[in-house]
Amino acid sequence: MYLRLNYQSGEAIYRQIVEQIKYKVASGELSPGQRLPSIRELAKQLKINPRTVVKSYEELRAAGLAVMRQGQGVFITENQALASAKTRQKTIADMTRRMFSEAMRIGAHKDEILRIVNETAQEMRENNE
Amino acid sequence: MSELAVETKDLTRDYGRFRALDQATLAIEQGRVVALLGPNGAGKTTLLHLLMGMLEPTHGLARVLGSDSRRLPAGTVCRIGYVGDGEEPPSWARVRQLMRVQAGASGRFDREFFQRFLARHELKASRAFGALSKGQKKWVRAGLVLAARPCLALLDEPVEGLDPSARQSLYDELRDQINETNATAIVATHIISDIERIADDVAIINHGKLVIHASLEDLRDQVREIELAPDEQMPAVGDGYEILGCKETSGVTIAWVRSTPDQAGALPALLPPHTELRTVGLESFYLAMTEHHNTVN
Repeated sequence: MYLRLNYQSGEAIYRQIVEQIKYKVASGELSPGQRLPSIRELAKQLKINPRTVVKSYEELRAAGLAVMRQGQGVFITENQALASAKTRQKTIADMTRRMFSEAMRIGAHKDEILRIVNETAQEMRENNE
Repeated sequence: MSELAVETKDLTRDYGRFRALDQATLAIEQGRVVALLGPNGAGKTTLLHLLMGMLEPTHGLARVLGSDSRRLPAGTVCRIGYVGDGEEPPSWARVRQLMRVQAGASGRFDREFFQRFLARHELKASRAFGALSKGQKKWVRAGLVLAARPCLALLDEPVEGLDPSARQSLYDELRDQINETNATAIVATHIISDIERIADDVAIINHGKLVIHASLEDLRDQVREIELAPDEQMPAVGDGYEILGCKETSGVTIAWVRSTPDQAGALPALLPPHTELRTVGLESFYLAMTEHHNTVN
C-alpha cells in the first residue's frame, strides 16, 4: 500500500494516513475485506512510530472502515456498501469545503463559486465527449 | 504507559557565573525519538553531557535508564550511545580498531550491521579515521553507536556535514532501530526538516530554559499559525488556548496558538473574518518558540 506523507506540512501524520486510506477505499483502490499492512510493516515503510500507525487504525475502526481480527490483522470492513457511500460523501464534502474556503479567502461569493463549478463541470463533460 | 528512559527534575548547570541550563524538568518515555532544538549556546550539549554523567548538575537531578546520572553503573554507561559534536576518536585509529573497541565495550555490537553500514558509503575498515572526510567521519561514528544497539542514543549534530541522502538513510536506520528495540534517542540538531520526518517529540531549549517538550503529533493537532487581516489585532481567545508567540510585519499580525485537545476545532470561530489558519511545520514552530515567544503567558 503506497502512502505519501508530507512530514513538513504540520498535518498530523495519523490524520494523513487515515485520510489517504479513506480515499483509497472511496476510489476502490482498497477493496472490502482487504488486509491492511501490519503495524510493524507500515511503521517500517513510513519510518514512523508504531503508535502512530495504531492511532490511525483505531480511527479507521471507529469510523467503521476497518475491523481488527485478533491475531490476523486489520482489514477493510466487508460490509462496505454503507460505509463506503458515507465515506465517499464525506470525502467529496471535505474537498468541497477546502475549495470553498480557499475561494472565499480571495473574496469570492457563494453564487460565483457555484457558477464556476457548473461551468467547469460542463466544460469537462464537453471535453470527454 | 511506557517506562521512562530519561527523567530530570530542575536540572541546572552553571559554568562559573553563567547558567547554561536552568531548571530543566522533563520526562522522556522509552521508544521515542526526541528532536532537541535550540540556538547555538542554548544548552543542548550541556543537557546531553549531564545525562551521560560527563557533567555534574549544579542543582537538580537526572535519572537515566533508571539510575542517577552522577552514579551511572558501568552496565548502564555501556548501554548509552553518544556521538558528540567535536569530540572525535584519535586520527591514527583505523575504522576496524574503533569497531573492536566499541564491540568490546558494548557486548552486543552488531558487526554485520556495521559492515553493511560502511559498505553503503563504500568505506573500507582499513582506513585511518583521520584520513576520512568530515561526512565520512560522521557516518562512521553514527554507525559505531547504532551497531552497539544502545538503549539510549544521545546524538549531538549527527548529520552535520552529511549529504541529504546520507542524512535520510542515517535517520531511517535510527528510526528502524528504535522501532525494533524500543530504545530511545535524543538528537540535538539544527537541521530541522530531516529530524521532523522521524521524530516523535520535540524539546526546545532557549537561553538555558526548556521552553517546550511535547509530542509532535499533539502539536500538529493543537498548534495553528494565525495570520490576521492587515491592521487587525489578535483578539483575546480565553481559556483553552495559549498564545505561544506573536509577530507583526508591515501591519500584518501573525500569532501561534496552541489549543487544548478538545478545543482545537472551535478556534476559527473566535477569530475575526478573513483570518487565515495554517498548520505549522516544525521549522516555523521552532522560530515561534525562540524568536517570537511570549515570555509572559
